[in-house]
Amino acid sequence: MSANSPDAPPGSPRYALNRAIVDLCRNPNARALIANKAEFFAAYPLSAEERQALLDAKWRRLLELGVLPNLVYRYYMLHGLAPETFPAAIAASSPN
Amino acid sequence: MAQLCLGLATSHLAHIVNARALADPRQVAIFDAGFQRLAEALDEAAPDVSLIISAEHVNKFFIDNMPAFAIGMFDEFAGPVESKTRNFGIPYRRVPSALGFARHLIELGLDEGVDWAVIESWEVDHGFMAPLFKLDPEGRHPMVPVFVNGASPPLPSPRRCYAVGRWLADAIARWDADKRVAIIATGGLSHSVGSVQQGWIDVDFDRRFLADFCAGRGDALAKLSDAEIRATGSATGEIRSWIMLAGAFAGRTAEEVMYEPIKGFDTGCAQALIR
Repeated sequence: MSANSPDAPPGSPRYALNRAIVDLCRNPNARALIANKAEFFAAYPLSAEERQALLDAKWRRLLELGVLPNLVYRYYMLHGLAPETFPAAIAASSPN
Repeated sequence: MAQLCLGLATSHLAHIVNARALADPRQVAIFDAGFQRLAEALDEAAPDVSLIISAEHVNKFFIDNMPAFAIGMFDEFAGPVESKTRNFGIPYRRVPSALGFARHLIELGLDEGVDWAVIESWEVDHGFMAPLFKLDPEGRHPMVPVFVNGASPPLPSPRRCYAVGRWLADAIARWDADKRVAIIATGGLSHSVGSVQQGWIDVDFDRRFLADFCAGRGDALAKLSDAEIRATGSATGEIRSWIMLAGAFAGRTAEEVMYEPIKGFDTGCAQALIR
C-alpha cells in the first residue's frame, strides 16, 4: 500500500496502522516529520481510534490495535524518548 | 564435500556496544568475555564461510511481504542499517559473503521443500551486525546471512525451524566443495521489545532452554509451542535461530559459555558453542 495512492488495495485489519508507523520510522526525515505527525498520518486510511492512538502516543493502545511491538518501540524512540524509559511509560499508558 | 566445523550462538542486542552503561558492569564483562571466547573459537575453526542466522526488526521486511526464512545471495552485504540514520555506535561497513554457497542452499532447498525467500541486496540490522562487531570486526570471515522470522507473527514453528536446521546440515554436507562451514545463531533469549513485558526476563525459561540446547536435546526445543515462547516475551521468538542451530547439530552437546539475565539490557543474555 502506498499512503498516497487512492486505489491502494485493502489490507488486514492491522495493516494500515503498521504501514503508517513503519513508513514514518523508515523515512530519512523521520525526526523532522514527527514534529507534525498529524499531517504525515493524514494520508493513511486509519480509523479515528487508530489515528488518535498515534497522535496521543497511547503505547499500550497501539499494541492492542495490532501494531508490532518492535514498531511501537521505534515510534516511542522517534519522539526523542530514552529507550530505558519505555517500561515505565508503557506501564503508565492507558489501555484505552 | 563441505564440512560443518563449528556452531556458535549468542544474544545479539546492540546494547553491548552502544548502551553499556545501562547494565551492571560485572554482567557486561561476562558478556564481553563470552564474545571473546566465541571470536577465538571462530578464528581457531577458520571456516571458509559461515551462515549467520538472525531475526530482524522490521528494517528489511514488513507485513506486506514477510517470509518465514530467507537467504542473502550476493558477494557482500552491509550494515547495520540503523547507523545510516542515527548514531548507533556500530560503524556501517560491508561484509564479504559467498554467493556460490548461498545459491547452492537456495537451489537445493527449492528442490527439496525448503522454499527460501531470496535476497539479492541487503542492509542488515543489528541482529547480524552487533554480533559481527564483536566476533569479526574486520570482516575476515565471509558470512551468508539467513533470516528467520522471529518477531512479526505468525512465525514459523519451532518444529519447522528445527527441521530446516537439520536440512541445512545435510545441504552443507552435499555442497561439492572442499570447504569448512560454521553456523552462527543470534538472538534471544527471553526479552520483550515494545510490549508491556519489557524489562521482565524469564530466567526459568532461559535456563531450561539453555540446558536443553547444551545437552543436545534439540527435539525438546522443537516441541516448544509458539505460545510458550511468546509468553516469555514479545521478542523471545528470536530463539528460533538457536533452534535452527540445534537442528543443524542434532544430538550434539554444546558448551554453555555464559548466561546472565541483564536487567539493564532487558534481556536474558546467553552464549554457547558447539565444536
